[in-house]
Amino acid sequence: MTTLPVDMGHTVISKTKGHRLVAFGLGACVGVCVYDPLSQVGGMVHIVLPRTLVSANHSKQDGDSILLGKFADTAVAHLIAECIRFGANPERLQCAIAGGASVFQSIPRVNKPLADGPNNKSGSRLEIGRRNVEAVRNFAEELKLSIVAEDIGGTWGRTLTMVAGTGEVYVRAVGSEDRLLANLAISAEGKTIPVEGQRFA
Amino acid sequence: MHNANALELLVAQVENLPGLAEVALRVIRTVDNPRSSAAQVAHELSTDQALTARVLKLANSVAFTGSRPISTVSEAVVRVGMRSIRNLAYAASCEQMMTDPLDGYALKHGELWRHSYACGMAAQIIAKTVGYKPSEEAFVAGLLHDIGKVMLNTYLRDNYARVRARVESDAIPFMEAEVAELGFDHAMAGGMMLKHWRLPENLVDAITDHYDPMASEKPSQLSQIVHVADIVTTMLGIGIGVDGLAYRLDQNVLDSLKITDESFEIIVNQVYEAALNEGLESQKI
Repeated sequence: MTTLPVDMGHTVISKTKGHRLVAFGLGACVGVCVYDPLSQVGGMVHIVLPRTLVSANHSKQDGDSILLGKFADTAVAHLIAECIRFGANPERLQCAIAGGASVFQSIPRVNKPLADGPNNKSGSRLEIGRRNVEAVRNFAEELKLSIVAEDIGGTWGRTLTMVAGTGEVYVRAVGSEDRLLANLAISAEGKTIPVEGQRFA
Repeated sequence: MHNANALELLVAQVENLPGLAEVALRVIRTVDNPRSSAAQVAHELSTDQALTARVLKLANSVAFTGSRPISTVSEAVVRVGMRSIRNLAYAASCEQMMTDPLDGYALKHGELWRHSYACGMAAQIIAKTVGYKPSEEAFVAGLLHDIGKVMLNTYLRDNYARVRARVESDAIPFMEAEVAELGFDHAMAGGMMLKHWRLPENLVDAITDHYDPMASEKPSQLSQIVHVADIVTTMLGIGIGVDGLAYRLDQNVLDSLKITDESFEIIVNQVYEAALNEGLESQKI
């Protein structure tokens, strides 16, 4: 087994049996994996933020593929395009996502009136994990990509693994063992299986 | 909040901790002597090549970007200043103990150092954003903010599942679960370690208060910067352990530092880019 790390902002595609695509230490970031059971092309992207920041200074290492994988608004389409380039049929792509953890809810601001009530939306932009997940879901829907399994939210870090050639997707909470999240070779007929349960379940 | 026996035990642990490298202590003493010259500091440091290399690496991280890299100790003393060299010597001599795996926190070899280094860079980015000077002080505070984990690791090895389970069952942040299960938390332990090593008071306070800076009578800007830097680094998943994201972001700290929600997101992106440039974005496998 060869491990291909999928670092923050990166996109990795493979159809080689024995390759493991791995996004280590997903915090608020979201790992998206897609797999075409027929062509056996699989890909993963490690998304950092929900939408492109105009002010972002792109560093030297920020090549095109890194850049496009960094923000959800370009990453999902980029992942699909890369899989097509490797021979996948976009209509057959099955998708699983993991990550999008959050820090504990912010202490409400003292200098803001509590008029907003318990659903105080001030600071909701700070909830990057939740916004990353929402953005991925929206872009997946827009691009008719079916998310068949999710392991999202909570306050813990995760490592997401996809086995190229088989479409098996594993999630490991930091300090725990790998757990099978989905087998993307078996069509789940578009049914989403949300997994937000106990960390040590 | 912290029980007396647990505290006693903690102090005993501090006494048993490995000391700082002898050379680092000599550098620190030389800097602290007002009659010392830059050349003397450089001379003391040069007697330990490994430490020198680490200090130079850190000096290059904190020096202004775009300028020529620092390659000698004398240059470092001139470029970042004597006081900075003193702090960087502290930080550099902690590298080894922060690189060893911490089973208690489910941190593999190098992961705490990766998190700490990225947090140091994040703190410096925030310091520059909010106009805190010297920004290298923020770097060192960020770098050392989780040093207490090294000490608590001894306790947590068998108890971390219990602490994490408490986070889940009571829906409380990790620090509060540490206090509930152990009687103290790693920020407090870190502060004690730095005090034991006679680090400057502002650094000790910044590390002790970084989890809840506003609870302090006089919240320091440095502790607030470290608070935000830690959250940003954690959100990015850089070197996170079993405690994961189970920390609390205090929006009042953002307000106090005049960081808007938008600029917070920009800072997250800047820290990501800085981590990428330093090769810190990837866990070693």
